[in-house]
Amino acid sequence: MRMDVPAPGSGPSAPDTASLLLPRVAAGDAVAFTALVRLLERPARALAWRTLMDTAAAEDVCQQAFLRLWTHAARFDPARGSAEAWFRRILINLCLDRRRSIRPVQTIDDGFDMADPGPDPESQAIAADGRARLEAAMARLNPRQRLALGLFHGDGLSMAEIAEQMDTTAKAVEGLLGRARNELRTMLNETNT
Amino acid sequence: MTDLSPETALALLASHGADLARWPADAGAALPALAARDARVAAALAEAQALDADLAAWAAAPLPALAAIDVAAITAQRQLPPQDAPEARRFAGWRPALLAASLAMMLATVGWLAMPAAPDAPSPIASVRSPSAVAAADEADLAFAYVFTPTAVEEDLI
Repeated sequence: MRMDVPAPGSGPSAPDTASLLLPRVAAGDAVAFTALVRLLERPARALAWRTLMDTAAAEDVCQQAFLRLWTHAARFDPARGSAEAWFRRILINLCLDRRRSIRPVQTIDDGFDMADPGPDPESQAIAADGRARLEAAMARLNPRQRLALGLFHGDGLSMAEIAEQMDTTAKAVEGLLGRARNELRTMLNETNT
Repeated sequence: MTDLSPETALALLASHGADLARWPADAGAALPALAARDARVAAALAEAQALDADLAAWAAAPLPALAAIDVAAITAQRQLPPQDAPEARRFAGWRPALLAASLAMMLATVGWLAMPAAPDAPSPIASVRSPSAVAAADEADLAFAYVFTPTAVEEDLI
C-alpha cells in the first residue's frame, strides 16, 4: 500500500498526494474525495483481501473505511503522519474488528482439491496446485498474521512501520511474523508429504 | 561488518526472511560467511528463500473482482466537525469545576438578594402569604411541637 514514496533526497516534509487532497475532502469537496478514493482504492482492496480472504467482507470493510475517511476527514492531524498512513490504520482496525465474524473461505483440506483438472501442461497444473496449497495455508493463519505478512512482504513496510500501523511494538511484529512464517512453512511441508 | 551468532541469524531468518535488504542494518552482511560454515544456518536460509518466494507470489497474486467503492453513497453522509484544538482540549478538564463555581456564585447572589434589608423590616415574602396559609403553617408548627416536644420523663432521660 505504499505509493507516492518520496524520491531519495526529496525530504520527508514533502506532503504526499493523499495528504494534499485530504484538507479539500475535509471541506466537503466530493471531487477531491473521488480522487482520493481512486488513489487509495487498489492498495486498500489488496490489504483487505489479504487480511480477510473473504470477498464480501473485504468489500464491506473498504466501503466502511472510505466512509470514515469522508466523515472524519476534518479530524486528520498531519502532524501525526501522512494521510495514507492514517487511512491504512483505519482500514486495519476495521479488518481486525471483523476477524471474529469471518470464517476462512476454504480449509486446507479443500485446498487439496483445487488444482485445475483441465488439459493444461503438467507444469501449469503443478503451479496451480502450489498456489492452491499456499492459499489454503494462508487461510488457516489468523488475520493478524496475514496482515503482518501482507504489510511486510506485499507492501514492503518495515517492522517499525507495521508496529505503528498495528498499534504494537516492532519486537511484537517480529514475533508475529516469525510465528506466521513458521506455521506457514509447517503447513506447506505437511501438504507436500 | 558486525558479529552475527548462529542463533541471531536463525531468529532473523525466521522473522525477516532471507532478503538481507530487509534485515537490520549491517546484520545481513555476515550471513553468507556464516551460512558457509554452519549447516543449520544454511538450511534455514534455503527454507527462508523458498518461503519468501511463496509469499511474494501470494502478495502479487491478482485480486478477486471486488465491487467498486460507492462514492455517491459516502458523500451523501454528513461530515463530522473537527475535534477541539489542543489548546481547547487542555482546559476541557476544568469545565465541571467552572460549572460548579458558576452555580455556587449564582446561588450566593440569589441568597444575598433575598435577604431582608434590615432586621426589623418586614419580610416581603411574609406580606404575600394568605391568612389560610398562615393558619396552616401554625397548625403544622403545633403538630411538630406535639410530636417532637419531649415529655417530662423523656426530659429526665435526656
